Amino acid sequence: MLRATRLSIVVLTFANWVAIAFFTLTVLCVLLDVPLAADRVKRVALPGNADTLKQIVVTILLIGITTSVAVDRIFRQILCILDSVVAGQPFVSANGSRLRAMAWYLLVIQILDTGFAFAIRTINHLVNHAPFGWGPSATGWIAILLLFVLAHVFTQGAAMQDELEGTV
Amino acid sequence: MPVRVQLDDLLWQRRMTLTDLADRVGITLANLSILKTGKAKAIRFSTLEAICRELGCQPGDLLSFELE
Repeated sequence: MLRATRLSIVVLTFANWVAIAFFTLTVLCVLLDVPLAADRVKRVALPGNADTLKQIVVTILLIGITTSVAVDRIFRQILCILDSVVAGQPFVSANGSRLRAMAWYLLVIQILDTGFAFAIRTINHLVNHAPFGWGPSATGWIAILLLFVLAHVFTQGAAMQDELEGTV
Repeated sequence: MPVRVQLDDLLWQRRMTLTDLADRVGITLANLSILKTGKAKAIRFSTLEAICRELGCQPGDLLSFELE
């Protein structure tokens, strides 16, 4: 089970880096007016909105890159936690810090998601037909709270474990 | 630490080694060594009871408090 989870996270980390590379390449293509990207933007934009659409597309892609970097950091923390579980020492203070870091990264993702919602709302006014949708979700915000609580529990648990180890 | 463990003195008075005591009280030598060197953070009542029983002493003989 732990091995399968670890393998899944490693695969997802790799896929995430592929996505970062794709977003970066697309941003460069749009910014440098590479013919294929520039033509595409002009084709879908309503008359006179091509430049604004270009800016919004770049914003969305930058949000995508930042989100993917935050996701990568979360995956790294999960891998470290899994390694500590495999080593038989999950109740260490480092895992509390890792969970707290994950909560902060998730908070960054949620804030970026809000920015994404505004960008999507803007983009749908600039194109011929609105291709994107966005719906609010409380799941991410609840996960942030859960991670902060778990981080606190782990920190307390690790302190108790330390005390127990010094008991004769 | 202000609480000092006098296990070394008690063992010397009774001409007993730490290994002997570990065998008698059923506590690992490593744990007794932690206790003897003052590195333990806490001591269980069961441990205290076993040591006092085997050494024929009171808890107060084993532990002393000194202001730093």
